[in-house]
Amino acid sequence: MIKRALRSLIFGDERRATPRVSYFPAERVNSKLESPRVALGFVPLTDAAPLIVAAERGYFAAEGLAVELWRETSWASIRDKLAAGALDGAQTLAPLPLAMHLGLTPARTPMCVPLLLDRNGNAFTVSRSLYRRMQILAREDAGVRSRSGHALRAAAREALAAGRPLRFATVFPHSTHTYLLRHWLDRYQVPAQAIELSVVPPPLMVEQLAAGRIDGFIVGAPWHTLAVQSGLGRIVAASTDILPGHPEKAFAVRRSFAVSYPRTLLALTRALLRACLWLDDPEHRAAAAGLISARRYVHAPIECLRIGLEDRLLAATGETPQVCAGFHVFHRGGANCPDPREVSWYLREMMRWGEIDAALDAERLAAEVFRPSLYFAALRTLNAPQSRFADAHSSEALLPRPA
Amino acid sequence: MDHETSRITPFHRSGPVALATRDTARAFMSLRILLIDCDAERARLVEEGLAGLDCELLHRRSAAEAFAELDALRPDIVIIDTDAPDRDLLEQIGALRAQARPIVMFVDQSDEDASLRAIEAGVSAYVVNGLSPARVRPILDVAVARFRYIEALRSELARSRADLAERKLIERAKGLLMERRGLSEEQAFAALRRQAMNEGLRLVEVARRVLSVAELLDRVP
Repeated sequence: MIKRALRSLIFGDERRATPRVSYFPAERVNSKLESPRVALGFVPLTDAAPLIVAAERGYFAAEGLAVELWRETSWASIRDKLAAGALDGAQTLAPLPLAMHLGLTPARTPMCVPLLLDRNGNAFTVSRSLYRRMQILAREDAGVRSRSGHALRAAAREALAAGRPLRFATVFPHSTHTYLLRHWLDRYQVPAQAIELSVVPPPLMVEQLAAGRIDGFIVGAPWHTLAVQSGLGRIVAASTDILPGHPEKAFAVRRSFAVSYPRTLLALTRALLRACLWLDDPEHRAAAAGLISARRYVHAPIECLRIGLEDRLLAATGETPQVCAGFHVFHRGGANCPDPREVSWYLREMMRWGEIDAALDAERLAAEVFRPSLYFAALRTLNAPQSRFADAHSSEALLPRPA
Repeated sequence: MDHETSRITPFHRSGPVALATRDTARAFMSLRILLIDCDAERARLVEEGLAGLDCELLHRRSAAEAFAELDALRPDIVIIDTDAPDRDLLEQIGALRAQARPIVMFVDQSDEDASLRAIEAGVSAYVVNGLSPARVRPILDVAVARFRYIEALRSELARSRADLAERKLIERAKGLLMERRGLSEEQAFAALRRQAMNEGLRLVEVARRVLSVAELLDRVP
């Protein structure tokens, strides 16, 4: 179910209206950076692209920043290195800074998010054998993604009766992926006891599926595409099926960094916004695939990266990738706005699954970490339109219900 | 706001967590340290380093291997390479077994320098809840020192390999000039060095260019 506004975002006018020429003033606003040397972390994924593009296309350098990019295998490494100060900032899962801020992770660390890096981009992929089971049980084409939930429910019930739960992997306990998967399984009333969740770092997912240690996984591009291309799995639901327009990755720093180095943070935010704007142009997506495919970045084949970046979805091995509009949204429609209203969805999910106290004020907590004011400040210095994704495009399920 | 209760909320299907403090009982026992490391040489070095301390080191090559016998191993401290691919598995074990044997990561927030040093050296330590930082610290220090030592050896090795590769390139370029231009060894080397100085390049870069231009010319009919 896609809301009309989202539909217009994905299919319609906004995309054409997005200015192709950059709207940035020529002069530098940041002649005095407090800390021009900055270490940033990323996990090899397509949506590490804003960091990689900002480095490769010289947007960081244009701000007077000397940025070192560190490739980390797992979100646990990003969490620890951010908490201990080995990294100044990082690409993070949208719920990760919330979990760190609340102390759900071992080292409780106050965090600050000046912008989101993207929306959507994930896909839930099951093994070939589970998919065959789903198809037999559903007695129809489970490949139609709208029916795959019902088919999975049947397979899960069977697995439960056989005493052999289905083993699914997500990328981190407090990840976009965990909450999306649980939300989707719950929507189709897949019995929770039939599912065993584990954590596997994104670049190792395909290997785990190949080894038969898991029956499926939910992960960001390009790893789900790679599983399908390798003939190991089948995509049964994408971000755009589960919760279209959901905040995916955030750029996060420790709050102490934001307080001590406000001009540096503004410069980082500007550089990343420019990278996101560049990335959002469909004409740049193929070039982006080339930039990020390097061994020191995502280390995945360009062809594999291109499928997702060109807003296509390869659901089954050997098929032609289908158009999946809005699969990666990096900028348009105010996608970078770190809006506490939208992000509080993750906190409400944490409450729903008993991870945090349900009496907490989700929106207020989200607002402690996600700071639209920093996003707007950076947009202003770039002479960019002041847009908020939530105002026009957010799916209803994402926003808090009016009291 | 009381977040303490949800501090190590188990990830999946576990009940509420009891944060039992068993330090009183442990105060007089030697600590059991589980080192998960696929690098046997590094594990041996850590073991050597711990010899003087009152503790017992158990070494396993992967978290999966340790998982099967965790109940028997009963570690007080688990040390694992920060970049180990199966660290997530270890954390999950910690979360799943929270009631029986809570494993929390040791980030002594009163001593941020120590955490930073450990993480920069690639040491991640998970410590049974309630163990005093004073007992963990010397063990962590040993692990950090030994991890760093191995890292230094590795980068030394990588550097000398790179040096060797560069020297070979320069030798090949020199040989090429001697062969094609009839120069002596000294003349060939002087020509390369002069070019490097004129262009503000490293000698090896000039050698690389000479070789690639020669290759290009050879290919053109």
